[in-house]
Amino acid sequence: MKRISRKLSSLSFTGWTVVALILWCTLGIVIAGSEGFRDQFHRMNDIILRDWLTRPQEGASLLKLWFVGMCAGMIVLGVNLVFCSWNKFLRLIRVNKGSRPRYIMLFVHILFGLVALGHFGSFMLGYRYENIRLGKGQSFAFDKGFSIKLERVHFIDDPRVLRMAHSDQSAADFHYRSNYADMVLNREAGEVYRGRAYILKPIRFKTMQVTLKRFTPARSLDGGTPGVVLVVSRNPVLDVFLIIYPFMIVGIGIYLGMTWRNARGSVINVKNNL
Amino acid sequence: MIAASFTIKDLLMFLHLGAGMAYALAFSLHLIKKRTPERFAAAAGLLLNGAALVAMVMISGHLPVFNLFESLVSSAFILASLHLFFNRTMESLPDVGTWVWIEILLLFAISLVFPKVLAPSRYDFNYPYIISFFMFRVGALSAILFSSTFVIQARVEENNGHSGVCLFHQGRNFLLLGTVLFLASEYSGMVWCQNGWGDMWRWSSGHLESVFVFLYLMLAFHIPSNREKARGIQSLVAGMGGFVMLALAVMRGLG
Repeated sequence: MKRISRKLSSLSFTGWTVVALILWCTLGIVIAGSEGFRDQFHRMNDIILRDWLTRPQEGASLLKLWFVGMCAGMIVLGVNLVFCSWNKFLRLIRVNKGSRPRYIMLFVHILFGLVALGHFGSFMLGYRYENIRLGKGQSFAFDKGFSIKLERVHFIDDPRVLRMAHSDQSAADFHYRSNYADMVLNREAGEVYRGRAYILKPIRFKTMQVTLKRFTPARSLDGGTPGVVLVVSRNPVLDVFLIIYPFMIVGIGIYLGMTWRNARGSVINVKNNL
Repeated sequence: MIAASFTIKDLLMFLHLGAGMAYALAFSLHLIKKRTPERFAAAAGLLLNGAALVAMVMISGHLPVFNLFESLVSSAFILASLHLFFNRTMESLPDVGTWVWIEILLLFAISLVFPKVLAPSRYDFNYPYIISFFMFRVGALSAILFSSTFVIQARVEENNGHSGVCLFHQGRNFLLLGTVLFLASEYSGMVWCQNGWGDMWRWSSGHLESVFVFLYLMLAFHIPSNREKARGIQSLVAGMGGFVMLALAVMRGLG
C-alpha cells in the first residue's frame, strides 16, 4: 500500500501524466483544425458539455472519446496531486524549519487542484443557451420557467456597421460602451430582474448571466431597430473560480520572490522544493 | 492625413530594419568581444526598436501587442532591455548574451519574413481585459525566451559547478516569471471570454494551444532532477520553452 502511495505521489508519475496530456492536447489541436471536425468541435460551445456528452445526436464519437480521455488524464493528475500534497504536507509538519516557500508551493498546488475542479465544474454544472436571436419585444424561455425579453435596443451608430466583419469594425464605427439592450428577466409571469446589457458587460442575476454577444441588422430595410444575439448561461462555480485563480498566480509570484536569490540546491523543479 | 500616415508607415519600416541591423551589428561585435562598441550598437538598436514601437502606436492607435508582427517587435524590445540591464557580459564565449542576441535576431528574421502589417484597430481594443491578455502574453513570451538563454548556457557550463547551477537557477526564475505572466494573460482571457461569450472557456484550437503551453510549462517544473539523464531532459524541456511558445505564436499569427 505504501509503495503504491509512493508511486502515485512521485514526480516521475506527474511528469509522465503531463506528457500524456500534452500528446492528447496536441491530438485535440489537430482535430480542432481538421476540415471534417472543425464545425463539430466549435459546436461544443453551443450547449453545456454535460448535455453534449450524454445526447447521442450531439457531437461525433471521436470527439467525445477525445474529451473523455482529456478528463481521464486530468483525473489521474488530480490523484497524483492529492497523494503528493498529502505526503509533502506530512513531511512539512515533521520538519517545520525554514520551509515558508514550501508551504506557499503546497498552497499553490492545492489552489491548482481547485482551479482544475472549477474548470470541470463549468463543463458539467449549470446550463448554456447559445446564439439566441431576439428582436424588440421578443422573448426566449429557458430553464425552470425563466424567460428573457428584449425590451429596448439603444443603438447610436450607423446600422450599416452591423453588416461589416467583426475585425473591420473600428472604434469610430462602433461604440460598444454606448450601444445597449434593455432586458427583462421573468419567471413564470412575474418580473424578477431587469438590466442593461452592453457588449462585454453582461447582465448578472445571482449565478445566471445574460451576455450580449452582438447586435444584428434590423430586419426591415427602412432603418428599424437592430436585434441582438444573446447567450444565457449559468455557472454556479464561476465566482469562486475567478477568486481562486488570481490567488494561485499571486502564490507563484510570492514563491518566486522568496526563492529568487536562492541558488543553493538550485532545482528548477518546484515540487522537489516542497 | 493619408499622406502623413504613409510617411509614418515608411518611417516604421525604416526604424524596424534599422533596429534589426543595429542588433545584428551588436551580435557581431559580441562575437569578436568588442564590449563597449557592442553596448553602443545594442543601445542604438534598443532606441530604434523603441521608436518603431512608438510609430506603431501612432499608426494603429493601440498598443503593439495584438498581432504577430507587433508581438515580435515588442518581444525583441523587452529581450534587448532585459539583456542590457540584467546581464553581465562574460569573457568566454558563448555566454548568455550570445543566446539573447540569437533570439533577438530570430525574432527580427521572423518579422521580416512574414507580413509586416499592424493589427486593424478593432472597436474593443481599449477593453482592459483584452489589452492585458495580449500584453501579458507578449511579456510571457519574452520572459520565457530570456529564461531559455540561461538554461542553454547552464547546459554549456554544466561542468563548471557553481556557475552552471547559478545560471540554471536564473533560468528557472525567468521561467517561473514567464509562467506568472502567462497565467495572468490566461486569467484576463477568461474574464474577456466570460463577458463576451458567456463562458470562461471556448472550444477552439486557440484555447487548446493555451492548454498546451500551460502543460508544457508544467512539465518543465515537474521533471525529476535526481539523475543525469533526467537533468538533461529537464534542461531540454526548459530550454526549448521559449521556442515552443514562439512557434505557437507564429502558427497562430499565420492562421
